[in-house]
Amino acid sequence: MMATLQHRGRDSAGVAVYNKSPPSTSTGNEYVLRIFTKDVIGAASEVATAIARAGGDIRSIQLNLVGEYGFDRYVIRAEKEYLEKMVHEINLTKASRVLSIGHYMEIIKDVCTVEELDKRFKVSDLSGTHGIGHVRFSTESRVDLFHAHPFQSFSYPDIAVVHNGQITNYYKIRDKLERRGHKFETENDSELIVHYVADKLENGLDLEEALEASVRDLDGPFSYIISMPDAIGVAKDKLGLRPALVLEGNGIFAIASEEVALRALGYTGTIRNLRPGEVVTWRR
Amino acid sequence: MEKVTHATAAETIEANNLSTRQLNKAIKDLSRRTERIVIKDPKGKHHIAAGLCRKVEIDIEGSVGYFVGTMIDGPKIRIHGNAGWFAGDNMTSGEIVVDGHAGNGPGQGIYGGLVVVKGDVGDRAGALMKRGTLIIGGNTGIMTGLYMMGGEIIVLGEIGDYAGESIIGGQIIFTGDVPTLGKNAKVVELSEGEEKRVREFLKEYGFNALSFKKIVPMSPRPFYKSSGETIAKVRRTYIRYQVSIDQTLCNQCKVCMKFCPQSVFSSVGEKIVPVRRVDCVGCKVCMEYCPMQAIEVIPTPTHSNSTWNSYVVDDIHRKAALGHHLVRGMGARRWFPHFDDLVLLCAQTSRPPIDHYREPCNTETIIGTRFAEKPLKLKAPIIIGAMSYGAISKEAKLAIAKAASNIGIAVNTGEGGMLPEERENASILISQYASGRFGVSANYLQSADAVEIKIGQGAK
Repeated sequence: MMATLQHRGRDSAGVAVYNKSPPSTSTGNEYVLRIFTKDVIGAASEVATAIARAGGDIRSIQLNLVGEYGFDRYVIRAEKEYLEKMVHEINLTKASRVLSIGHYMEIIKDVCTVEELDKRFKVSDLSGTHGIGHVRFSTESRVDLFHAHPFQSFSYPDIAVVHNGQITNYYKIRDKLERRGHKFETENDSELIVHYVADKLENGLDLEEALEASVRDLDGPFSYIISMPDAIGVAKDKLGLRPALVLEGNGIFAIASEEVALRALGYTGTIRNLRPGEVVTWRR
Repeated sequence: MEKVTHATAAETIEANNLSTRQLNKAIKDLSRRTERIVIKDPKGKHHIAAGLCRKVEIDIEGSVGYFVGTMIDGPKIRIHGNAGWFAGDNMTSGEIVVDGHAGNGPGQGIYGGLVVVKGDVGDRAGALMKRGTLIIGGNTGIMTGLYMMGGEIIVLGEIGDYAGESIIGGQIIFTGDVPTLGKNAKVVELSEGEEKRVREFLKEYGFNALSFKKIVPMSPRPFYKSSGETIAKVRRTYIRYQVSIDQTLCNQCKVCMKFCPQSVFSSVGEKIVPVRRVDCVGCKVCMEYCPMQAIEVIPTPTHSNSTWNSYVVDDIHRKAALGHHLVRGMGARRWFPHFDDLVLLCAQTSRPPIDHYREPCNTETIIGTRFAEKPLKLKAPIIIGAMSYGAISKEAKLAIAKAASNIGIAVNTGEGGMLPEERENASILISQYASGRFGVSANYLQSADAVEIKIGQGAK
């Protein structure tokens, strides 16, 4: 499905996948970390120390070397409130940086094409309940691994966003969110959306209300998809300046920028163009 | 759907494994020797048949991506499926029929021809249309006919809100309920003759509808508001130029009174005196024409180092009287080199050492030596900056074109399209393709010697 949209951007590709069964159901506080590490001696032990310092307990490590860099997968046990501290500690080690953290969710992204991504990380072999993906054609911020989509908020794990468009009142809203304690990892305007929605969800709104609020508050052209452990939501800007098509029916729910991606699934449901300012959500 | 028999057999292209570039090249090549092309399995490719200028029939069996048939001139394209955004964008002539639905902006900016979408369309259908016809069998999204300048849109389903937003020409004919209208749009009834014409026209494409209304512009210049005040009417108080006549030299020939564009001079008794000195703009025409050289025009000295000097204060007074800012050429604060300041050392443009007896030494510059079929040959490495018609006048454009032709260098059309006279007068003309794509059509790009793609600009 993503390969059919490769022509929309070749800068980077990424997916966020929600696993059917979280790492462990017994304790409920196990998380999967994906950590980007430079291939230097001692990096792994530094990460392990950092995790321990933040009160985490490593259950398993899966090293995955791609070229000169490691994209390692750690399964850890920790309390939810220490996650942010843990991310901070790991990022302080200089050799490593956290790519994703989640109880249900894993984000896999790299500066490459969809085909390459699949080859490097065996994305096709992953199974799960739902997921989102993105190919990037960068416009405003730099092209690197950390500016690739999907984005997540480390303070509110298991929620990810992919976005097409620009948020033109980025600094205004970022300022407000930072005052409320959200930590921005990059200068990408798409990252703002995940913090914005996470903020709304923390304040007790449900996904649909959060998306509707975002259509009112965020300025500029956009269409974006938000994924949560039990839901997916899509929103389009008031003027309908970015595409979003939804395929619904026969037990399938799919969203894409172009019809060709939905057709690639092989289902024949009704494909509908989202109206300007429209919000659609799906629940598991 | 009836089958049409054709004199020549249809050629088929399997599009699945072709890139868009390869597909379009195949279409172009086939269109030279056949009248009908069938494209199988288009896989939602974008830009299919872009810029095709032959009278050929193309059948596309499947859904296509964005910009199908953009900038075409002549072909008839039928899409047995859905179309993405901007079907038939900026086309000059021909026909595009979409059997399914279409995305945003079908028939955007068309110069002529016909676009038919049998299903629903997205937002901004027929935006910036100039001529031609757009028929939509289903419903439309918001802002149908946005910034429309001419032509006709016919909507047979429900028409979306803000229809005819900022429309300044043409008409949008619709059947359903009256939507929320856009700015400058109004709804009027069709005359009986017109209603009959539309009905007959629609029958050809298999549509039946009974009653119509249409949306037309309220005013052709909705956003132009004259304040009624002009700079000439504003009474000035600050004397910017000191005008004086040496009465011992003056022979009362009154040539200054005749030529002063601001009527500064009047005869008082036997003398000619600069009565309305406040109106002087410092053109010094009087000084030029005075046979006795009796007139002197000197700018009033001002304390230029203070922010609120008398010049600035006068400007503010005038803005206050006018009610808006002063419209004038901005100029630049920095000093820029003039053409006379350029010194071209021919030897520097070739490889040294040079012996002009043995090899030619000149400033000729060729752009596109590696890949271009027709490289751009300039007699000097100078290209005149892009200035559109509208930013500068037609006279200025022609003067630049003639001057550049004389010295064998290139001129640029700028953003707003090409004047036919400019093409005639310029020996080397570059067409600018900017993001707004104003005036961009097949003919515009083909009649140029080169195409400049503008990504951004620093001027203005």
